[in-house]
Amino acid sequence: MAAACFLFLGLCLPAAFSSVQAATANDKTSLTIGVFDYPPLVTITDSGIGGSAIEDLSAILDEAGYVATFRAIPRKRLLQSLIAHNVDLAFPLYDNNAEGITTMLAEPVLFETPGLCFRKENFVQFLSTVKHWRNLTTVYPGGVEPVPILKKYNKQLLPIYGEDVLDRTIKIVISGRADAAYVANIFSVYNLNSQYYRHVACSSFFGYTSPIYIGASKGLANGTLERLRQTKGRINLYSSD
Amino acid sequence: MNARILLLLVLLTGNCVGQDLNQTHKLSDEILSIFGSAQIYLFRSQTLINSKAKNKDQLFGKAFIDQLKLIHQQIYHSPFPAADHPIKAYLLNSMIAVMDDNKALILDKEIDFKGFIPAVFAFQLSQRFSNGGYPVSIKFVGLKDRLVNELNVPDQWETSTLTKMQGSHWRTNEGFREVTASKQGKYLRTLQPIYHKQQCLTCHGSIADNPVNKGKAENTWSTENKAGFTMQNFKLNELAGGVSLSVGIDIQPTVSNSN
Repeated sequence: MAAACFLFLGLCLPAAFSSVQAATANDKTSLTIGVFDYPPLVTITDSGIGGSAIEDLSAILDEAGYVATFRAIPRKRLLQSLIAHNVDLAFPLYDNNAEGITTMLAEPVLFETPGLCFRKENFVQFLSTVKHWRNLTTVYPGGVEPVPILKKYNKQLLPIYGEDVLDRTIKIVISGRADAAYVANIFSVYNLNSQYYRHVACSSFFGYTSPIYIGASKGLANGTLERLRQTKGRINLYSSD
Repeated sequence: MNARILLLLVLLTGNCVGQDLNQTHKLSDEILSIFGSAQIYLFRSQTLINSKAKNKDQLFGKAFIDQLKLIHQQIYHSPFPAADHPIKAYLLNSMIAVMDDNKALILDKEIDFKGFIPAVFAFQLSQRFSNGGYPVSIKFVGLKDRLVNELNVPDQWETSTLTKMQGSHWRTNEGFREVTASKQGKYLRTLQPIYHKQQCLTCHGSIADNPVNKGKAENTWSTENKAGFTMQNFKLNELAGGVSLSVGIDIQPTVSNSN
């Protein structure tokens, strides 16, 4: 929670103040946020829903005077859930033009840039050169949809399933059991704070960057959206591993 | 934690960005000159980017924008445009964000050739900038039959404009601009040509221009450049493609409309 405070408000609130917030939280309206497993921003495990975006969204709602309740929803059903107003908000949302929805913030909160991660000695700078990766054994977190160019040309594309799937996928590459890992967003793996930084380097697939939004239901009560939009909250792409 | 990088400054401006044709002309010129300054700066900074230097601060944050201001003055002989419009502010923020996204790569001492070339920056920037909810898009376009990246394929308007620019009567460096209409409304479109300079030919020129062939017997020359692409046989000052900009006239941001 302290990390989230730092992230959004630029300062850490003392623990005593946090408990005051908890006491007043009972009076706040709850908003339900539909999420799917999107590590490291959203991680859904047997022990619950976590991840840096969960902290960030909780802080945004808290600042606006709401309490966040998260509900895990399969990726393919998230948009429909928002349209049907089964959830108030949804993250991550790829489609900001669907009927019956809007977005919480005007601009995308992050840009998903898919790519391949390699051990540094095998780094491939430009993924447009298909011949450099078409024959590589490539693993990816099951549940993530690889970009079409990878599915088309790479014949050794293997999904990895289970808990901590992103972590395990990257570690398979680090250990040399695969040549490359496909990840939905290279910047969440390859950043200066990442535990993998010493071992891997990642390149992006040109042209597949997708804007990611926080979706909002058009059924939200009057004024709710405006209050959320007036917060100074931010979604931070990079987790502190 | 203290080194956490913020991906996006949420700009809850709520400002109206709709504007008349004169304002759109001015805004288009300013966006192109900011974009052009960044391209030139990154081209000139390739040695720094690929070096193992500890201090690369000038590639990030406000220092990066300060460098663009210097380049802008040198190239366009005018002050750097002020960030007094939501679209310009978003462009500058997007540039900083793209550099921050690539900080891990740029500072990675174990990778000699990073591959963070102006085209990569331009592509990531255009994706980010063009998806920002504003009625504006900017991108590189290549000549249809000589593309390295198929995603740089020109649309019909761009193809027709590039064809005009390839004609012998077209004045070098002269851009083309016109108002076009679509279902979304009217757009002011600009295509600014790009020509191959000497330094471009090391990757886009003839096999003889390829630095990896230097000092080698001709029958052993590689057709592949440093980036892994086939040399394209462009000549000095030949048209490479262009920067294509499209700015809506009197069009509100899409997200504001839907809200």
